[in-house]
Formats: sequence, C-alpha cells, structure tokens
Amino acid sequence: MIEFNHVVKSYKVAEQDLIVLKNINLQITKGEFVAIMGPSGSGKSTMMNIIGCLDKPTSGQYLLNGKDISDYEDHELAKVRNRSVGFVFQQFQLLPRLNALQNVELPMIYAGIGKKQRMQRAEDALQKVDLADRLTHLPNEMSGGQKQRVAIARAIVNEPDIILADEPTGALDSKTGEQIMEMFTMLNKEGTSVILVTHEAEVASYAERTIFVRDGELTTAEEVVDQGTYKKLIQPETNSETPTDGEEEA
Amino acid sequence: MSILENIKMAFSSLLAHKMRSILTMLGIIIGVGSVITVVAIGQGGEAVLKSQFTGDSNTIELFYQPSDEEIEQDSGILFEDAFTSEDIHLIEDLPEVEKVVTTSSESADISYRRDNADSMVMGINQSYIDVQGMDIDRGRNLMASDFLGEGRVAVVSENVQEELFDDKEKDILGKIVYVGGQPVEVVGVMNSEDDLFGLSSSTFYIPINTWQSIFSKTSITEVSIKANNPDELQTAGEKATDMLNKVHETDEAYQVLNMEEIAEGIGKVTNIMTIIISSIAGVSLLVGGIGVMNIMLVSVTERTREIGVRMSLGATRGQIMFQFLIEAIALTMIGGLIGMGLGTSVALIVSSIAGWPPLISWPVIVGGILFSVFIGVVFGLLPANKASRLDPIDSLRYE
Repeated sequence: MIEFNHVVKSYKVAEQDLIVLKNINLQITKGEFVAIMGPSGSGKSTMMNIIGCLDKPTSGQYLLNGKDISDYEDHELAKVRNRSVGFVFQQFQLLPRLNALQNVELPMIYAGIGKKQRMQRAEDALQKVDLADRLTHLPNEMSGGQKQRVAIARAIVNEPDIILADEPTGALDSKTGEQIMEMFTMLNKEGTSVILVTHEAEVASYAERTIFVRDGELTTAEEVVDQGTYKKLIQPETNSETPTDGEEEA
Repeated sequence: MSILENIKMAFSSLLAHKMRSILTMLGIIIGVGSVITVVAIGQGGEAVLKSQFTGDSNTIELFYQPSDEEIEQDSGILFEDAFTSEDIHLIEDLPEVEKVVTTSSESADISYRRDNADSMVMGINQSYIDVQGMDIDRGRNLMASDFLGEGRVAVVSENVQEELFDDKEKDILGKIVYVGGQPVEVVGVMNSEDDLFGLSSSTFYIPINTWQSIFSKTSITEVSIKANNPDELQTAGEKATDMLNKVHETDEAYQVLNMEEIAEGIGKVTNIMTIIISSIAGVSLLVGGIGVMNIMLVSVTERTREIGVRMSLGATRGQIMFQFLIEAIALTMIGGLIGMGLGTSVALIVSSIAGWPPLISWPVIVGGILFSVFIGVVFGLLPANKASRLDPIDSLRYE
C-alpha cells in the first residue's frame, strides 16, 4: 500500500543542501502496524510527513495505494490527506474553540459531507473511543487522554487507509499512554494500517514491525538504540528507565 | 465545503474575540455611517432649499430686465412699472395660462394708536389666494368681495403682532391699523411660517385695488403664471414673455425666471458638498479597511497552528484562503450594517430636529454596504493569501 522507491528529501539551508532522507526504500502493506523509530534528527518525522502527504520527496517515488503522488498538486495532496490519512499528533492539535463533536466533524466538512451525516458519524467515532459522554466538551475541559481520544476519533472518522501517529503518547502519562496504544491496536485489528513515529521503544513494541531510521537511512535496531533499550524492545515486559535519546526534533 | 459552513465558521471566530472584532469594525462603522448621514442630510437639505426657493405651487415667475442699451436709450425706465393691468389681462387670455398671480409690494409705515412699525405691504390679486393659498391662523382670508370692492381689509403675518404691540397679549385681529396713513381692518392673522432662514419680515396682504389706491400707484411688481397643464408651464411663460416683449416693443426685457435652473444650481452646490464630505468619510472607510487587514494579519499569525491542523485534515489552500476572506468580509459587512443603522438614525434625528423631510437614500445604503463588502475583499485578500500559503508542517509546530 505504501511504497518508497529511492526516496530522497533535501532542504536548502543557507545555500547548502541538507539531505534529510537518503535513498529510502520501504514497503508497508495494508493492515500493518508499523513503528518508525529513530533518534532526534534521524529523518523519521520527515518520513512521516511524506507518508502523510504533507510533504513531497525531492526525488524518488512514493506510491500510495499504487498511485505515485510525488508530483501531485497541493489540492490533490489535500484530498489524499482528507480521505486516506488520519493524523494523530503528540500535542493532540484539537481546535480549542470547538467542542469534541465539532473537532471530529472537521475532516468531514472538508470532505463535503452534509451536516446530519457528519453529526452521526462524529458521534459514532467518539463512541468508538469511549467518549460518548463528552460530545460537547471543549478541549480545555478534558484530560490529555480524552483529548488524544478525540484526536483519534477525528483521525478515523473519514475511514482512512492509514492512521499516522506522531509520538501519540509523548504528552501523556504512561498509564494513559497504554490505553491510547491499546486503542491503536484495536483499530489495527479492524483493518486500518497504523504507522507510529516514536523514539520510545515501549511504544514501538505495540507494533508488529519496527523500522529504524538513523541519519536519513534505514538501519538495524542495534544502531539506533543503546543496548538497554534494545533489550527492552525485544523483551517489553522488563521495565527499565525511559529512553533518553532525544525529544521531538526541531 | 459550503459557503454557509464558512460563514458560520467566520462568525464563531469573530465572536471568540468580541472586543477586537468591534474595535476593528469601528472604522467601517464610522465610515459607512457618516456617508449615509451626510448624503441623507444633504438630500433633505436640498429638498428643503428647493421648495423654499421654488415653492410647491407649480408656478413660473416673469421678470423685467431691460438690456443695457435699452436703459441707455431711456434712462427713465421704471422697473416697477414693468407690468400693467393690461399686460395681466393679455397674459390671462393666453390659452395655456390658468391663472396669473400678481403682487405689488411697498414698504410702508404702519401705526396703531401710538405704536408704529415698518412693514412690507403686499397688494395681491384673487389668483394669489387661489394659487399660493394663505395659511390663516385666526380670522378669515381675503374674499372675492374684498377684491371686487377695494375692501379696506388686510391679512397680516404672525410677527406683525409683535412688532406693532408692546403688549404681546393684545390681539391685532379686528383692529383698525393705519397703513400709509389710511385705515385698514385686520381680518386675518397667518400662521407663523416654517422659514428656513428666519428672514420673513412682517407683512400685510391687502387686495391689489386697495394697495393701488393707498399708494396711488398702478405698478405690479411680481407676476407669476400657473399653467392649465403643469408640463406646459415653461411654454406658457415663454409665450407670455414673447407677447409682452412685442407689446412693449422690447427685445428680451421680459424673461422667464427659470426655477428649474435655480433648483439645478442648488442641487449642484449640495452635490459638491455631499461629495466633499463623503470623500472624507471614504477616507475613514479606507483607514477602517487597513485596520481590518491589520487585525486579520494578526489573526492569521495567531492561528497558524489551526491553519496547520486544518490543512493536515484535508483543507486545501483555496479553502483556507476562503475562510479568512469570508472572515474579513463578515467583519466589514457587519460594520457596514451597523454603520447603516447608525447613519440612518442620525439622519432621522437631524431631519426631525431641523424639520426636514427624512430623505434616506436607498442607493446610498445599498452602495455603502456593498462598498464595505468590497473593502473586506480588498483588505482581506492579503491576510487570506498569507494564511493559504503557510506550510502545514511548520504551522503544526508553530508555538
């Protein structure tokens, strides 16, 4: 479903090319639960942005559902984001003036769905994330976990092919984080592909497959995480201190 | 995404910052309000001025203005003897003419017992009453018998009372007053006129025959014509002057006082005033528009994250642009509507205080609102464009 063929991404910074992704080849099939791991500045966020159609590769091919979107226009990319991708962010990114229901309605507004159907589907989506009793609450009246669940409802309401979650537990305590991760597992079981971007091995352990990125290249687990966290990654039940290999990259 | 959806969104975000929205609208409110007020007052004033000058009796005035050469030839030309009784009869016989109103005026000394005053004494004919009417407060109007029989009666203007009597309580009605040394009975007192300039002097209206006998004059000072058909007024006037010029063997001495031209002249003056004041108000609209642009730019920066979120959820650049444009238009249009309400009320208040007809001009109201929408589009474009060009990735990270 997702295919990267020799994807390169570079930025011009002060007249110099800064290569963020170097020749990435990657395939993710439909229904997979994949974690993308890597330290700060590794290029994992850029990968996520390209997968989510927020950004385009400088060269190479990105096939989404068999279509090369590398040369899509802005409005075509917007449509792909609207229909095929559901974003979940570390900072929830709910619109503060809209209540839960209205926030979940947003993607459907841009999809041109009528008010009645929108209300119904938004309610269903919120029910799915156990927030049926919080429909009219504003984001600042909700806990972090509740906010993230609203964000998940918003991500799934247009029935996308992929849920793209960028450090979805980064702003939550570990218990709430676990609940959120279980929710992703459940959604994945229902058939939606889930792609996680994280630097936490514990979070990545929920995924069926982990892709490691370092310095813009795919690599093996050993090179990305130190031995301690790697151990934790392959044996998630052993509890050790949280990894400290960086925060969200700038 | 429907326009209605956009409008709802725009209103909710304007309501989220009520104070800011109102302050931003203020420039537009003042601009639109003052344009509507100025135009309404200007048009009301113009209508009043025109009716003061031309009256609404639908008559046309004739006047006598000999050329310089004619005055040179006959230095003894008397302007006040321009119209004779025969002239009036001739004009009355013209088929287009319904009535000929004549007035002769003379300033004279008026006395009652020991009190005396100066007053204008107007000798009027029956047609004057028929055409102009007289607004009688108390007593009676001049009657046909007064005109036929050289009646020693007068109708006086309200202020004669004050000028002649020290004692304001006394009623002049029914008193015998000496006009130019001859006794005349005051049979009627007129209502005080609504006079724009407050220049109306005290006036005695007496029958023309009486006037001629008191002042031993035959002259007729003013002649105006009422036509059978109002559309033929100009023709009737021209025919009358042509005839008078022929009878008196003058070239162009008798002319028609063209009220339309005068009215046009008044219209021009008030128009120029209106345009000048409106352009000042227009500048206020412009400044208001810049204020809207300024606030919208601030709003775009403040809502960078929101824009990023919306883009990540599938909003196209066009939709983001439209959202902010609608918001700017909503600001200016609401401002325009409030300004319209305000301007209309001020115009109504002013016209009711001044006693003018309230002339609210619909084209100006519609134009004012359309113009405020236009300003919203013009000054909303830059911020909306800025919003639509934001990079979604950077916007999502914006703090």
